[in-house]
Amino acid sequence: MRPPLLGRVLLRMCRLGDRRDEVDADLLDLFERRARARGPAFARRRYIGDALSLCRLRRTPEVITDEDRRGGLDKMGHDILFAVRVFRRHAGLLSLTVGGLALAIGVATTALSALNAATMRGMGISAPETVFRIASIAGATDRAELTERSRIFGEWAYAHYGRLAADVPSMQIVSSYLAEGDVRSTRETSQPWHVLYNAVSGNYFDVLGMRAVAGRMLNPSDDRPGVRTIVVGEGFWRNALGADRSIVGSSLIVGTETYTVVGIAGRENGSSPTRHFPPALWMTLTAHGETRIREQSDVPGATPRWNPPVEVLGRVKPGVTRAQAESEVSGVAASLALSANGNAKAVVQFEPAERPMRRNTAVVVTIFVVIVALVVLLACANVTNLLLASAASRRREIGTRLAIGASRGQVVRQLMTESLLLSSIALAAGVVVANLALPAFARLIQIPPAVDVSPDLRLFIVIAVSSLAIGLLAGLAPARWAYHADVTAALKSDQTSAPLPLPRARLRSILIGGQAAISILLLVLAALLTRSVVESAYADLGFDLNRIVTASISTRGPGSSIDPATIRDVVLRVPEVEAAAFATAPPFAGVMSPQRLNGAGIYRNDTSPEYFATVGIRLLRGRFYTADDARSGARVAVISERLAEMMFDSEDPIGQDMSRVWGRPASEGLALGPWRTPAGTQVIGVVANITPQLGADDAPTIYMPLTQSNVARLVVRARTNTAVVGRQIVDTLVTFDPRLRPIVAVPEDGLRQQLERPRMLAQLAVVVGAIALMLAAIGLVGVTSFVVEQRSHEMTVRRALGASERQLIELILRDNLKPVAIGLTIGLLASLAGGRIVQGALHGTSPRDPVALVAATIVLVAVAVVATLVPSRRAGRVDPAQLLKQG
Amino acid sequence: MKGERLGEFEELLLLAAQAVPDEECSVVEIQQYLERVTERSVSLGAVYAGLDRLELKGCVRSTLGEATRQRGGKRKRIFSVTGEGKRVARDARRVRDAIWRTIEGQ
Repeated sequence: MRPPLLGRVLLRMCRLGDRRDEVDADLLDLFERRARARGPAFARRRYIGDALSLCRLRRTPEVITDEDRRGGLDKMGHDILFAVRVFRRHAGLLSLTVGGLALAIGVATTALSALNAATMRGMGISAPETVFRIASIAGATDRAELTERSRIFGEWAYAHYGRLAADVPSMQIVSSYLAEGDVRSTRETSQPWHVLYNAVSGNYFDVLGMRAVAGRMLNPSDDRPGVRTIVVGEGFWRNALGADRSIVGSSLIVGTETYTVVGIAGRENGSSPTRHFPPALWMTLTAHGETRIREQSDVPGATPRWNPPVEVLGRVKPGVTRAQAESEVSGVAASLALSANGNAKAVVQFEPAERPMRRNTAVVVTIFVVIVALVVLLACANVTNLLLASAASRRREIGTRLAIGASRGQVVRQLMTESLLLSSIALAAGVVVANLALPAFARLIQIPPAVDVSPDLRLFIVIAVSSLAIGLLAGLAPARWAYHADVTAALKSDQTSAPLPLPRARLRSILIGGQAAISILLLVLAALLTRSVVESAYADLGFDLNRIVTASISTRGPGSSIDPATIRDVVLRVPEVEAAAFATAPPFAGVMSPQRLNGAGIYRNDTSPEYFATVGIRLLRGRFYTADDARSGARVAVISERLAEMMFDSEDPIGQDMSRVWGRPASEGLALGPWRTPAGTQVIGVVANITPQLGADDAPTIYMPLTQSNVARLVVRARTNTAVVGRQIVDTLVTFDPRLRPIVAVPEDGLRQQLERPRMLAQLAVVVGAIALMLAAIGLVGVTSFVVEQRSHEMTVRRALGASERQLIELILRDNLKPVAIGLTIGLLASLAGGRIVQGALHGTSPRDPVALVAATIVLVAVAVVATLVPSRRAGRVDPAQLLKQG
Repeated sequence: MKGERLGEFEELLLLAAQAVPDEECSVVEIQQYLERVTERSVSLGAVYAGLDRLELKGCVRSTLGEATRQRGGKRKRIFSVTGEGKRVARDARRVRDAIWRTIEGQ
């Protein structure tokens, strides 16, 4: 019989030295005796226990000391106490450095928390590999015709979802519809929250395997007429409802209806690749539909209809292949298409429900993480610098400790303890900073209330581990130096006069230079983004945005189509209205995406003939189309100057066929959804460029006579004041026909809204730039003060030999600013080289904008000079008499 | 180090080392003896550590015995109590006896 394996392994791990044989034999002896006396089980158990107890036995009696008996913790406590004593000598500088590191950790935690909330969390689907988003376009003939939008949303009519759920036995099908509305608490009369919410089928949570953190999720029993139940998201519950658990079972008012809250969904639930933020709450599609129908039936004469486009997801049942499921879905889609348009063509596409991060999101995330890492690196450089400097000024002490018998290991341990202590303090402070900063930051970047941004455990572990790693990293350089320290040299040297050993001084210069480089990069970025916002706000749009009002006019009730010309006439009766027109894409009325045609991104705007005059777009050549052109269905188009240059070079575009723009043969025309255009369309005029939305400077645009009036918006130029004219237009139209529902928008507000994002980016960059600058300044102050302290003897000698105070200060300044100058140059070169990365975020500014570059340089140089000057002044104030006293 | 006071377990070890016959006084025998007398389990590590401390304090001495066949040819460490050890044990007993006498005399 042999002793248990675990015991033997344990024993092998014990450090027994030359006693191993003896202990082995003793243990085996005992094992055999115990097995005989009390049985093998007992013997085995005790063997393991004894092996464990032996692991604590490490050394032979000769070297066991009192210190050993007190244990490692005590030694660490001693190291920490000593570190505190050392740090007290440089309390001011130390608090600056630790403060800087805390700030950086705070920034990192804040930024990563927001990022984590915004992009990293998935939908919370269990076994996501079997769940697919089902996209379909009825009538489509090939996959290329699935537009980007429908591929992502995979929208089906709600009525069709029912067929799909019934006729595809190989999948469990669920659907959801994203709606928005106001939510109020029934308890207090507070401001309502405007939120996004999901209306889902009753089986949604069961099929996707999403779980509640409190109460329950919705289930098929909720998806019945008359039932009004909702589940709130954890983020919304925390941020808006005050994390009150009693909310489960109580009521909330969504829109006009009162719903009972049955549960709280965990915060991992609900983000999706198409929407970064989870919905605030979930209700059933039945409840949502009933509300919508009731709202419509309040309107006299209207026929209530509710058949929204829903997103459809399906889980393939076990034992069924994806291909099988796809063919079943295709069959249903084809039969739906047949009954809808009389042709059985339909394209079905399966997309994984949980998609990996999209490419541009990944790019943003990478840039974000790199910037955060740079800031943390800056702070880390400060800590390294401080420790290096303090180790250098402690050469004597370290030399003495080595000389009286401390092992190199002990000295290294002491230095590492110091740096770890620093980073732990900074970590604690950083977490506090992050907690204070997170709500403000979430507001700044406009994270909706439905999102819980508080860092989760995973993120916290990442931050904690990296902070401690920073500590170790920062302590590495001084520790390495101490390890190789030359005892005699250290003892012999007079620490006040000995010059710094070269490699250390070089490392310090590299760190300072690196800080300058990173700071200038971030400052340039901040300056560029700020300039871009300013430029966009005052950019020349090519037309006068003032005094323009747009209105989308929908009609309700039967017989709703009213001739746009009539509406225009009615609007023109308002005395404040100077001109009026219709257009499908008025400026700043929303964000349009260009269509890729013939290798270029092109915008299209179908307008009434008065549009050019109303907005103020100048005619450059040819003519505008007329009301007659529109009436007769003439195949004519007006193009913008930019488009003319792109497609026709130096040729005269007037009279040319548009097939050149479509990039297709002249006989074909264009079959592209709303862009559908008959063959033989001709260019009749060229107009000046305008900028219809941010980022679409001088957009290459095709203008065509408006045919489908229902999607066009009214565009009005007011004589004086947009606020008054908006009200007047609404009143006049409703008086004219009560079925009209005009919704007025002011494009200037649209511009302001579109500026929000760049403004937010710029604010962020300014905050990060300022922090980087501050960290660099702290680094400079720290290094300069240590250099001044170390060279004080030299300074005294120089002073005694007749150098003026000014000369001494200049000397220190010159020496310390040299690495800054080098770093600055490298940083500027890097920002010039890397400018293309941020080009997309800049409007009206080049990444090489001299104003931004010069401004950033001036700020950095000014701060660097001040940060060096303050401690340098001490160098000038040395007293030559001190030298005589020292002998 | 000599003359330091003993811990309770050290005192038991010191007594056990005297109680076990001299030629058999190995770590295993001492451990077995202690388990028998105290009726509680005693780990081998504790015995080793305690004997190490006693050796350091000069209370016991150890020598490596001859290799025997039973132990696969491995040698056994034999402990013996030094004069100092015996004195320390007697001192400890004296203190205890004095206290007991006081208790029982009351």
